[in-house]
This record gives sequence, structure tokens and C-alpha cells, in this order.
Amino acid sequence: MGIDRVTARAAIEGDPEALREFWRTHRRWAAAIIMSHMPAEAELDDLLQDVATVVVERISEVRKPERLRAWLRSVAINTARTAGRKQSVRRRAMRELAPTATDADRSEERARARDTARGQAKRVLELAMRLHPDYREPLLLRSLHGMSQRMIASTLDVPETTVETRLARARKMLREEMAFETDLEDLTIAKPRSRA
Amino acid sequence: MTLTREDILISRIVDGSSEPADWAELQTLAEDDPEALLRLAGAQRREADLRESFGAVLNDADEIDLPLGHTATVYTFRNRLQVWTGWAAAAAIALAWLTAGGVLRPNSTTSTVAGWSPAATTDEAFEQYQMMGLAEGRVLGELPKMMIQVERLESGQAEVTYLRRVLERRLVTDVYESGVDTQGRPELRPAQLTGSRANDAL
Repeated sequence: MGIDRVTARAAIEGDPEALREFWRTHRRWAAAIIMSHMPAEAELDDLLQDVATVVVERISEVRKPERLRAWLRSVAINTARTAGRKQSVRRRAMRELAPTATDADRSEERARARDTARGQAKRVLELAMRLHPDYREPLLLRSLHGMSQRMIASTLDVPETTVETRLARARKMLREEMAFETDLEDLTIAKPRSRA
Repeated sequence: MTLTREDILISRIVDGSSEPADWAELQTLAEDDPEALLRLAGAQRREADLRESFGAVLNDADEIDLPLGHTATVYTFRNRLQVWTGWAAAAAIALAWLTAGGVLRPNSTTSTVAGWSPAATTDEAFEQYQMMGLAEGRVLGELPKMMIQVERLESGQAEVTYLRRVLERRLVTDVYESGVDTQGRPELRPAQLTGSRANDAL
């Protein structure tokens, strides 16, 4: 994955074709980075669009072609974190405005969320989104076709052994989260019906 | 959370980065705890699920393109100029003419053009020409300056001779090409253009 130095240089200089090539080859990668750092409620499409705009407006600030990917990662992370701060403020405001939910409300909410979950695959991704970014990022990057542990280590600027450990932890956390969710479901199913 | 040896081995196998020795080690562990293989199967299922659902999300992401529409020209223009400026600085030719003018502000709009005032310097005039041209759609951008020569003067200054190339476009009704007639004399004749595309306004 990636583009050659000449194309990278041309992209920095503003050549539209080179820019498009850079974006085509890095769009999914940027999406993975955003997803690794964005709050679960945020919309990936919106944030990726924001990143695309920053790429167009500020790519000329990159001085060295070899720093292009690192720069794009910074842009993606900043965009995702900014969205996180906005979400956080919105959540706080909503909490203050909304009536206090009872435990029963919350339980119903969870049950509805489970009902509307679109299958096992979606559920795994939802759980992955709850992991800390340190674990989520290598896990999602590994799910990108062709991203090796070595490439991930280079992207995150950490040793390969760290990537391996983080992946193992991420997978274990996923397993434990899944088990926890299943236990919750079992409890809900086993709950006796109220008398008529 | 503590990672066990089994966690590492399962992760490697799921990852596709395992060695035969890793498999052998996991099998040895499974002899004492057969559920280790169930945990491996579960991990593989989750990995496949994750790739499937993440892949679907990324397919949606493929729809997002760079906003390179009408602004591309302005953008390209500005960047080329910045790159040129950077090059000049690196070459240590710190000349005022490089930064004194010619930097196009991409956010300038037609309304700015409407309130134009006469230029005080040639740089200002050139900048005004570019901005008005961009607003009208006639100027597409400026190509990088081409250095012709640099001479050191007795005064200690350097005289730089360079070429500025501006890309313009215009809509015309008739297009001619140069050629020669049957007697070898130069002539202009109507050009045959192949292909066509939709009109976009100047």
C-alpha cells in the first residue's frame, strides 16, 4: 500500500491527479485511523469528508514526501478527536436537559439496541469500537487488506512486538466483551415473565 | 488484564503470522485444556466477522472523494507558488520579488474584484490580473516560474531574469491551425477537432 515518492511530491505540489491517487490509495487507511479514534456515535463519512477537505487545503504544508502518511494520520486523529470533544459536550448538555432515565428505561434501551443489531458481524465491530484506541487501531488496521504487522508498527511508530501484544490484547478483550454481552442476553432471556 | 501464552498463540494463528511451532505449542496446551481449541475457533469467527463488517464500512468510505472541483485550479495555483517560494528559499536567493506579490488568496471572490482599485505596483497589477482572471474563469493558474539567468551585480545585488507563464482559456467559435498551402506558403486553415465535452462556463 502507498504511492511512490514522485507521486507524493506531486500531490504535495497540488497536482490534482497525484492528489486523487494519494487519496485513492489511502482513503481506507484514513478511514481505519478515524474509526480507531472517533467516538462510537460519530459518523465516519462526515469525518472522512472533513479529512478530505483538510488534505486539499493543507497538503502543501507537508515538507517531505516521506512524511505524507504520518501527516495524514495526524489529520485523521485530530479530526476524530475533535469530533469526540464535540460529542462529549453534546452528551453533557443532553444529560443536563434530559430527564433522568430509570434503570428500567436503560434496560429497555439496551434490549432495543440488541434487537436492532444487524447480526453478529456488526456486533463484533461495535464491540471493537469500544476498545481503547491503542488496541482498536492495530486491530482495525490489521483488518485492512494487506496491512502487515510491520507496516502497522511503522505507522504507529512502535516496535513490532508491541503491535503483536496489542493485537493479542485487543482480541482477548473482544472475546471477554462478547462473553459479557452473551451473559447479559442469557439473563434477559431467563428473566421470568411478569404475571398477567 | 494479563495475557497468557495461549492468548498470544491464538492471536498469531488468527493473524496468519504463526509458525508451525506455534500450532504445536497450542496443541500441547489443548491436551490439558481442550477448550483452548474452542477459544481459537471463536477468535477466528470474530476475526472473520470483524473483517466483514469493517469491510462494509470501508466500502461506504470509498464514496468519499476529495473536494477537488472548481477550487482545484485555485488550489493548484497557490501550491505551485508556495513550492516555488520554498525552493527559492532553499537556494538562498532571498529576493524580495518572490514574496512581494503574486500570492493569490484563494478565498477572494468576485465581490473583491468588483471593488478593484488601481494597482500601485507591477506586482499588484499582476496579482489583480490573476485574481480577476480566476474570478472570470479565464485564468486557470500560473505555472512555476522559469529561471533564465541570475547575475551578480557590482552593487552586491543579484539580477534575476525569469519567465512567468500563466495558463489561460477562452471560448472561441472558430479554431484554426497553421500549415502551408500547395505552394509552400504559410497559411491558417480551420482545425478539425475530435471529441467534445459539456460546456462549462468561463
